[in-house]
Order: sequence, then C-alpha cells, then structure tokens
Amino acid sequence: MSGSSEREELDVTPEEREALRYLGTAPEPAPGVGARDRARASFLTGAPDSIVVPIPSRKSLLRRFAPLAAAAAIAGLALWGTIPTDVWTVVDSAGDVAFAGRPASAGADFTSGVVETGPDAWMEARLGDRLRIYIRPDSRVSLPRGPGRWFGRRRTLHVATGEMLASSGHRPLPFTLGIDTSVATADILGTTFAVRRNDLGTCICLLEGAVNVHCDQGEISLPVRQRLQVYEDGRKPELQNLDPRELAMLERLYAAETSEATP
Amino acid sequence: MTRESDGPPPAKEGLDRETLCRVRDREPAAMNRFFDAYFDRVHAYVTRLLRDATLAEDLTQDAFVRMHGALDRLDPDRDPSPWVFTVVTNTVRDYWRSRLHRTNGMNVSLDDAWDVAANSEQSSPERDLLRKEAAAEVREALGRLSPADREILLLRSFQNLRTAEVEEILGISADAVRQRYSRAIKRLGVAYRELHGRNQVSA
Repeated sequence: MSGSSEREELDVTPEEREALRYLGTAPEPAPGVGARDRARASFLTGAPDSIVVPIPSRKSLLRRFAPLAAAAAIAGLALWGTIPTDVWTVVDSAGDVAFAGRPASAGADFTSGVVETGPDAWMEARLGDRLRIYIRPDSRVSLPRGPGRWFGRRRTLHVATGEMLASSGHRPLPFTLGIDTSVATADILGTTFAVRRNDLGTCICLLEGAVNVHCDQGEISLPVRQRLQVYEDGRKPELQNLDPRELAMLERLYAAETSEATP
Repeated sequence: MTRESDGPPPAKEGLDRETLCRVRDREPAAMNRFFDAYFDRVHAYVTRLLRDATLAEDLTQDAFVRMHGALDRLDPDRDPSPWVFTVVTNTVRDYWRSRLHRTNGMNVSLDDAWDVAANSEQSSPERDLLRKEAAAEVREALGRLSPADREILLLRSFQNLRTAEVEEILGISADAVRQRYSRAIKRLGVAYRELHGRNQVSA
C-alpha cells in the first residue's frame, strides 16, 4: 500500500513499528444492531434520525454573533441617542397663535414647527425643563426638535420676523442652540437672551450667559446686559446697553424660569 | 519511496466514475453502493477516534447525513475517500468543540469496540493472548494521545490514506502531514513503550 510505503521512509523504532502494525491490522469494531440501517436511511434521505447534534458552545455562539450583536447595539444606541429627549410644551398663549399649523393652546405638546403669532398675540413655551421661550406679537419663529441624548446636540431656531426671548434660568443650556436670522447667526450657550428682527436688521440681547454672534463683519462675543444690533445694510454692528423694556422682559423671563412661575 | 500518481487514481471500493456521478445525483441504488463501500471504514475510524461505541454510532450517522448534504461537492473524477474522511473528521471535530463533548467528558470509556477476536483457526492460544495484550496496549497508548495525534495516526496508518489525501482532509500541507505523523508515531511509541515495558516481567 502506498501508505505503508510512505511510512517506510520514517525513522521508526521497533516498538513504534510494532505499535503501528497493530494499529493497522486491528480488526474493525462491529457496529451495534440497527446502527448500519439508521445510518443508511439518514444517508439516503438526508434526514437525521436520533443523532447527537453538536451544540455550539457559548463561546463559539458568542464569537459568531458578537459582531452582529455589537453592530446592532451600536445602531440601537445611536438611534436612541438621537431621539429627542424633550418636546415643546405650550405654557400659555393669547390671541391668534399657531404652532405647526395647529392652535397653540396651553398644555399642548409639539415636537417642532413654525410658530406664528398675530397682532396682540403671544406664546410662552418650554422645552422640557431646559429652556423657556416667549414669542411676541407679529412673529414667525421656527422651533427645532429637542436635542438627542448623545447626538443632535446642536439645534438651530430661525427667527424670520418679530421677537423671541429665551431663558434657561441660572443653568447654561445643556446643548448648543443656534439662532439663525437673515443677517446673523448666533451660538447660544445660555442663559437668558432675546432675538429680535426689526426694520434695521437683527438685534440680539443678552441678560445672562454667553452668546457668540456671527455676521458678515466677523464673530462677536456679546457681553452680558448688552445688545448687538446687526444691520441689514451692511453697517458695522453696534453694541448697546439693554434698554429698560428689554431688561424688564428678560428679567421677568429669567425669574419665571428660575421660579417656574409664568410672567 | 512510492511516487504518488498525478492523475485520478483507479476506482476504489468498486465505485467507478459513472457510479459516483449517480451518487452525486442522489440516485438511491448508487447511494446504497457508496454507503456499503464506506460505512465500515467510517464507523471504525470514528470509533477509534472517540473510543465510545454508542457515540461513534451516532456521529457516524451524523457524518452520513452531512455527506448527503455535501454530495454536490463530490468529484466523480477523483477518489472519494478524502472527501468522505474530510466530512467525517469535521463531524468529529465539531463534536469535540461542542458543549456536549465537554459535558460528557473526554475519553469517556475504554470501549470494547477494539476487542481482538481469535484471528484464525491456525493460531495458538499463546499467540492470540499476546496479540490481544499487544492490541490492548496499543489501544490504551492511542487513548493517551491528543485528538490531533489520534486523527493523523488513524488516517495514515489505519485508513491507509496517502499523504496527499490526508493533506486534503485535514487542510494542512504535505510537510505538515509528515511532520505531525512522525511526531504522533513517536508519541505513540513512547506511550506504548511505557505500557508494554510495565507489563513485561523483564525489560
């Protein structure tokens, strides 16, 4: 046999040769009764009968499914992390106010949408317990979805017309709020500020916190208790002190947020 | 040294190319012939690997189920032995890797599947006894080896498969086959020597 011929090449001792001889010549063990027939039936049909099915070990199962499980977990976490943790809740309103095309009545919840206030109308709303806003008459403001748990931590609202005041009380915002107007954008880190569109352009008022304004003239860090007027005609933005009305409104909003009482 | 042929080997076990084609097409009559040609060899190989007769029967059956499923890969132009023992070896390896194997424990029982029957009418009682004792010692020595050593010894020495065939079954190079086989023989020899020397009155 070719197998034994190949074996001749090996350097084997007499004992090893003897062991191999017995290994090669030992009679074959006889199968039990029925074993042959069961195996034949299984071979012909491809169907197992009562057979031992190797059960993959936990380790091999883990190894096999770990990448898939990890990917699913990451995807799930990412998805969960993007789900908004808060919604806009209307605290109070008066007059003709619509939020996402629906009447903005007190207690109503909205995920996001455009707020439109008619003449003599206003709306106050909260984003969870993070931010309180006050939208004055004749305003059109787009409110974004709330920030996600880990992702989507920057949200931008648009002030098309009118005025919006906002306050996170004495706490900085836990996310970055961007303000977008036609002539300027601002990054709001908190806490109490106002954005007003007027005939001249956009006015951003800050009572407390930090606001960075970006405009054609560059980036300006707004000092507290001051306002920045950004002009549509391209004039250089002007820093001014808050006027009494603005100060009063912002302080009232700040007080409302910190005491959880409506103005 | 015997030179291994480059072309397809002559038909083994009475299975010519036409029969193997019909086996691959799952024709019952051809499959029966194929089964009869290989069952005893497969069963003996599995029994010696596992050293448990009941388990060997079950895994032999499992191996034939797998062969049924893999018939599309049977090449009628080649000796089917490497293909058969590849399926069988993988079946046993899957069992070794399984939790069931660890639950049962390794080398559960020294089964009497390797009992040496009286060889021939012309043998003497003394010769039969010596053969029986030697065979038992070799069996026990084999049981002391690792599954990998047992595997290669049984494929090369018991099944008398060529290096190229074992290479294909185990998925290793020809040099690795020779190396592993050589080492396995040495280890078998050491184990056999210990057992044989212990049973001898004088060394």
